Amino acid sequence: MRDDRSVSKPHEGHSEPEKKEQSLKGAFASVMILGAFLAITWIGVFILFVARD
Amino acid sequence: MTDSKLSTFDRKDGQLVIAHVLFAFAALLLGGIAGMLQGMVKGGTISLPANIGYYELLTAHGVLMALIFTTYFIVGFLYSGVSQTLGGRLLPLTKKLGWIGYWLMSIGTLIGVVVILLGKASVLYTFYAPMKASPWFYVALALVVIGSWLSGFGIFYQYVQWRKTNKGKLSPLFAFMSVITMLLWQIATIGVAIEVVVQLIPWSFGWVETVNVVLSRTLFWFFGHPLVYFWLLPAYMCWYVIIPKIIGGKIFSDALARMSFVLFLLFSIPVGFHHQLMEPGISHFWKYLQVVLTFMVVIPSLMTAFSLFATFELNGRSKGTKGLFGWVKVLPWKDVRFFAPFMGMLIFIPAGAGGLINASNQMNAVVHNTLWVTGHFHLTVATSVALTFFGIVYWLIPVVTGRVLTPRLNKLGMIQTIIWCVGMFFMSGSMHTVGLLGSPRRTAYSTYDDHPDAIMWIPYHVAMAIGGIILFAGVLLIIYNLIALMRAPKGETEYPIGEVSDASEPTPRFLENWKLWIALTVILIVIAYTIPVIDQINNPTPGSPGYVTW
Amino acid sequence: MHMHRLEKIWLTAGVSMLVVFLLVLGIMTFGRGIAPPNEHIHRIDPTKVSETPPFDKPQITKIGDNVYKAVMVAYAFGYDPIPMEVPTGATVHFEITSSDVVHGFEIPGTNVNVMVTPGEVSHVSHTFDKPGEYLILCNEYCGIAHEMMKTTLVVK
Repeated sequence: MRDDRSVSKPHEGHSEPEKKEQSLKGAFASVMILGAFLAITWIGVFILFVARD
Repeated sequence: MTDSKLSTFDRKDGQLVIAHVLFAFAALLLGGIAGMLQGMVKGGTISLPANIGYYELLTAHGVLMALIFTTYFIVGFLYSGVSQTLGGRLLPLTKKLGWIGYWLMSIGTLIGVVVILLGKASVLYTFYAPMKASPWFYVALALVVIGSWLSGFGIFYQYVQWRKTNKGKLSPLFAFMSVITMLLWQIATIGVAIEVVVQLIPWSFGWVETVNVVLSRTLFWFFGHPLVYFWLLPAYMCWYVIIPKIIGGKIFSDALARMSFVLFLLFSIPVGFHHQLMEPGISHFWKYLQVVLTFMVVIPSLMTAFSLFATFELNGRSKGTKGLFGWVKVLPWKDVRFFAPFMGMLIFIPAGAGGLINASNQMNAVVHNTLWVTGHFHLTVATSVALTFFGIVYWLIPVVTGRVLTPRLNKLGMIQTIIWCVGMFFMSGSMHTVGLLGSPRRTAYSTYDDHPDAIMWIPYHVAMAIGGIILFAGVLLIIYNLIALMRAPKGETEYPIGEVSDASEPTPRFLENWKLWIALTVILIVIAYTIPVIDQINNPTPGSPGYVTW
Repeated sequence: MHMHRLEKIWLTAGVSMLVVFLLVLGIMTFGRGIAPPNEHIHRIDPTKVSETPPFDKPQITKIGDNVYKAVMVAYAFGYDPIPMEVPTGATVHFEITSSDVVHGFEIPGTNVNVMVTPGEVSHVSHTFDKPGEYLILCNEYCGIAHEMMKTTLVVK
């Protein structure tokens, strides 16, 4: 995907030029917990499926 | 016009929005009464008078909640945001289409409800052939769908006009998402429209003898899965666009929000076979292919989860919170406009986990047509989506009627949200558990001749009934809150449209390339459906005559 | 399109998880034959079920060493034949069709769970390792007495 044909942002906000990568470690930790929950429930029902076959 | 300066909402537009919202909640009340009674019958607590059937109530509950409450609320909500962000008022043609759509849908709903309550259409909201309802039931559904199409055309028209007068500008995020939602709806409903108009109406009037059952089910589920995304996307719109403003933060990324909506458009339609995994007439290959496509539609939800947490975290950091989860503390926990949708988001995590399991090809055998599935969509649509819609009401009604949310109503809203979550914990929790034990969905009270397996299910059914009663209290409270909002003190309420974070990257232009997205959507549908559907038509299942088995 | 580094890691992890799930399901389906039911398509005129073999005589027959074939008809509101009995450890191949509306065919506690669609024949197999009276019930709404639609399979 190419960024070069981008248009200006919808809001004329004045971006602080340099601060690119903000700290999002809290968001990252949250989604990883979410992902673990998805995996655990799926594996749980998968085991039930195999056990019943 | 995405700026959020205090401006009065157009009163005439407001009437259209209010008309939709009130109709939606009238449907919620009727559907809620039916739902509570069903729960009590199934739990063995009461039996209905002889002239009211359990399945009649179940049909009314499904149609009123899943089709009427949702569609009316969605159209009302989208029109409000389109009016707000695309020029400050609805164009005359848009408003006209909105009202014609409203009346067509209302006539359809009225006919449908009467036919259902007369016991002529106890076929549930999925109306699987060859159970044959009164032809007027199908006509009623067709009117609802056609009405919603006109409302969608109104949104497209306003969007196109805005683009013409604002050449080169990026459209407001709310409007972009509204267009995606309605586009998804228009494409998806083609399937059910063909089923109803070409197959069911001529057959139920007796003009043709038989119906191709397998084809009718395929056409239904072509619509049936994107239907759930039609419910979900407006809730996502609230989460992406409204919630950042309410918490006093910024939208994490406009580009990623648009990208996730595009992915929903592409991948939520060619996936209907995952509702038909356990049935004959479709080969393994095509089932599996659509399972793969179904898993693709999980990706935009994974993106959304990150975006929302990021919005919350950046908001916290801008307010000086520290640590991994310090941002949690500065969220407005006592503001129902945040709290209700937030509970919706949280509950979408188990809801999504269940969805992944449902779509997992052969694993579907564990849960197919059990109460697990009922529990699943009571988390998705009846909690994540419904709570978000409830949360919207607390600012939308004040905005469009020129009133303000009072602290007392805010508090009642908080209580309503908690009641809903507690009721759903009992109801959906029991449904999920007893579903894994094999208890079937869509059944009245039964012990299956005192079979030990079925006896073991009864306590869970009782817990479901208790949950249902708690939820009905929640329905009554939200209805009270709605009426109280309509009589709240006069004042100015701002339409909460979020602004994009200054630090986020600009939005690439290709995201508004509609020709590209529509073409890709069509290509995916063609790949997923052409061969199996041609096979179902050229090599058809022997036709079935109609049956009235209720 | 620009993405935050941590979002890239998250999406990579999430998508990998989905790919692993799909691989497991795909290998089971196409490699090991543990698939959703109904690979083969067998059509039947739903109005002539009672005169079309083998469904004119619904019955359970022994076709091999502790292997049985159950030819069954689902109708509003029951199943033929009754009663059914097999020894412990028997593998039963069910072949079911409907003589009226759409029905379900579910044996709680097992993975037997198929739709029975008029005009089609549904196939599903299961090995009954434990003795007991297995409940067979309809899990697709089929009319006024849907909740009464059941039968049993006795495994001795």
